[in-house]
Amino acid sequence: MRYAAIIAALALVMAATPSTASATAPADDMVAQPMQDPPEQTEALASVIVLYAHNGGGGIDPRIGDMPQLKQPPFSAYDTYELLERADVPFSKDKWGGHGLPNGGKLAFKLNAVKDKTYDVAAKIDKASGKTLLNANVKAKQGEIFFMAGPKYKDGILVVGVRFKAK
Amino acid sequence: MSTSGSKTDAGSPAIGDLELMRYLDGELDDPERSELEAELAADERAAAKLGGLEQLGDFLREAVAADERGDSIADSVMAAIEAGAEAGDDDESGADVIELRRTGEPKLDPVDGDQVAVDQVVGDQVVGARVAQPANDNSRLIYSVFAAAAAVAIGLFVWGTTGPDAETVAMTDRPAAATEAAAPEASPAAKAAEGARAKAASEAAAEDEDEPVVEIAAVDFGAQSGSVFYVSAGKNAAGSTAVVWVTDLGD
Repeated sequence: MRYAAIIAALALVMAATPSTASATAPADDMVAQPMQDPPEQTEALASVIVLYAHNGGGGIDPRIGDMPQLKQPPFSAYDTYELLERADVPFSKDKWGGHGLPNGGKLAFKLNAVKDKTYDVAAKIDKASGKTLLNANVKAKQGEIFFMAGPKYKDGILVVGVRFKAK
Repeated sequence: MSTSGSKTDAGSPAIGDLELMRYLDGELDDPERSELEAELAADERAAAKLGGLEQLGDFLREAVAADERGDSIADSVMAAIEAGAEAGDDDESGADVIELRRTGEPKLDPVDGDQVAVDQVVGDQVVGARVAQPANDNSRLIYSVFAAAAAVAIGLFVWGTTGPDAETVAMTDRPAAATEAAAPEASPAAKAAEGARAKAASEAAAEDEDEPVVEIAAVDFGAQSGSVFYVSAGKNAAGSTAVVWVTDLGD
């Protein structure tokens, strides 16, 4: 019985030992093998779709694909959506990436940061005159679409759909 | 005799129980006792009650006597044990007050030397105290609790050594083959932690479904006017779609 008590006491000591050791061990491990962040992403690509919205009774261009947003307000203010172009616009942290719009204006992006596949991007649309029509700071998850709409074009407006992705 | 007795007949005082008990206990003085005996001679019911009280008293006295015998046995045993302990102390100090001697093989196994049957001799009288392990000894319970604590401690020790190692394997930048080889060795605790992390991730993803996947953190319409909308992306898409709508008033 006394031997059992001695073994039990030793077991208790052994149980207490790793708890005190583990208080310092993780710190050592952190120093020895720190978590390495992936390399910083400095470039990205904006997949752009440019639509012409007007009330010409033409409906939604089938080339646009499945885009249920266009059937809802405020897009439903126009009954016709024509696909004008698709384009990939590269941009980076260092410089704006621009793309000309059919109305002579300019669409431009600049990367602020990428974290957890969420793109922090400065986006703007300039008029043909060079004046800025809108300037926005957008935080979009990779591949998720958002719209910038309103620049005048012919009898309607331009609607620009944008998705960010890695370059 | 008319103090606290019960009244049996209307108008005629009866002999009370208290008087009867005082009579049996010999607490009555001579005049009272004579008067009571006279009344008992005339009252058969009181005499019968007195007989019953006497029998009850005898019964109680026998019971008390038996209980006292039990106490005396226990007292004698305890006295013998204490005397034995004192004798042991005196043996160490060299004094020779109480002699202890073994009387044959003990009935219990003397594993730790604490289960020894002895006859105690005080002077010429053999008391015959048997110093053995008492029936209600708690040592087994204590050892069982100790053993259970040891088992828990060992389990914690094993868990504490294997759990963090498995965690470290998962977090270090080892080659894929090495990580895959180490994965099956992960302890159940590590697997449970992995499951908890997966659950938290799925819950976070579920929360994200209600949030817009695109946030318009800031917008400047300059000289124009505009609005920011969040439009449903449809049944098959998570979250809502952000729309920056500017009213182009022209140059």
